[in-house]
Amino acid sequence: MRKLLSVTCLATILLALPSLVLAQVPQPISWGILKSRYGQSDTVSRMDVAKMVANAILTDPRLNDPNIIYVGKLGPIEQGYGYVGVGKNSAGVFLVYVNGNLAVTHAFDFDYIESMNQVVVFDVLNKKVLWAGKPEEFLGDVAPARDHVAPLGWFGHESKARTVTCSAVGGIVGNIVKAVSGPVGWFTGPVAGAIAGSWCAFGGPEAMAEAFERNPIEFDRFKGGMK
Amino acid sequence: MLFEALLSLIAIGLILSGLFSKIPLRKVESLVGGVAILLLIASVHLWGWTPKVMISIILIGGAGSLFYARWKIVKTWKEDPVQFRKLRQGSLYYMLTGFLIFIFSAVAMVAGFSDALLFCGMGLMFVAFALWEYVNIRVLEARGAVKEDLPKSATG
Repeated sequence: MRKLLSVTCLATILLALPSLVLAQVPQPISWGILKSRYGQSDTVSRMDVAKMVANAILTDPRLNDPNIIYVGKLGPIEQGYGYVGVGKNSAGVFLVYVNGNLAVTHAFDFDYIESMNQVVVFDVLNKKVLWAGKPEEFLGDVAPARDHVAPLGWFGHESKARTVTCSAVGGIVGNIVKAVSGPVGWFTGPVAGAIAGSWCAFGGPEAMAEAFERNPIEFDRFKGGMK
Repeated sequence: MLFEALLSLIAIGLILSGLFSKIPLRKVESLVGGVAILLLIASVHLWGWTPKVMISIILIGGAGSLFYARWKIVKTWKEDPVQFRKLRQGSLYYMLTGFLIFIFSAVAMVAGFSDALLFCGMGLMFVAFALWEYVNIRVLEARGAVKEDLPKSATG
């Protein structure tokens, strides 16, 4: 009996060791892994895809301190040639193209030189200036592209600041409902708060994405990040 | 869209309960609460979740709900001892609910579910609001002028 126990224990440790080691090694994520994890690609929610695309961008070492604001699907909506991510980093606004295998293949920094009223488009991966000119000319060039971009989600809520702010918004709405609900307020307040907070954190991104879709590059909105 | 619809339902429910309530105070507060939530939904529709909208909600809603709670506690303390006791009970339940939400969210966060931070913060807000209510109630109780101390014949 004792021998059987010892053998079982040893076998368990031996079997557990490889999985422990594997857990420490970061595994590359491919579209195939995603599909096997979530089943058919059609069943993957927009948010899941957007999160994976954002992760692919955030983990790319060539982009310094990126903060993803927007993730969209690029190409004819039904087919989807890849994904586009827009955000801010220390250089200013950046735009990243992510292919179907969730690999970053193109990345551009947009720098605005206020004194010259000029936009400079910089290829981050190849480290060279691609384009320089006036903002209105640039907007004219990129505006037709908006028809090929579908919003997947807005990832401002990935930042702690937005999550904390949304939790405060949820808390306030919960408190208002609690205060006006009478004796059942202790229950209705948190429920309403949870709905409002989730709306702010998860429903809000959709509204922002739609606003972004209407006007993909708004220099006024990003001005703070460009200085 | 789903959350928005649910919140709109809550607002409409509050407005309807206000409209059909026979108690004047409940009528006013339910209507004001329902309209406040509808205004929140409308302002988000108009301007989106911009920082200005968020800060306005937090400042106006936060200050408003604290002042309103304080006003309601004092009013109930003066006029209705039975309801006053229920208020204390309600604030304790609310504190417990907030605390449980906070604990569960904290555990979920430690387990790697980073979105739980949202509910963690909310739980803390609920506890803070309940504490504000509870402290106000206890301060008024300490003044010792609660009508429930009066003999039954006096209160009817």
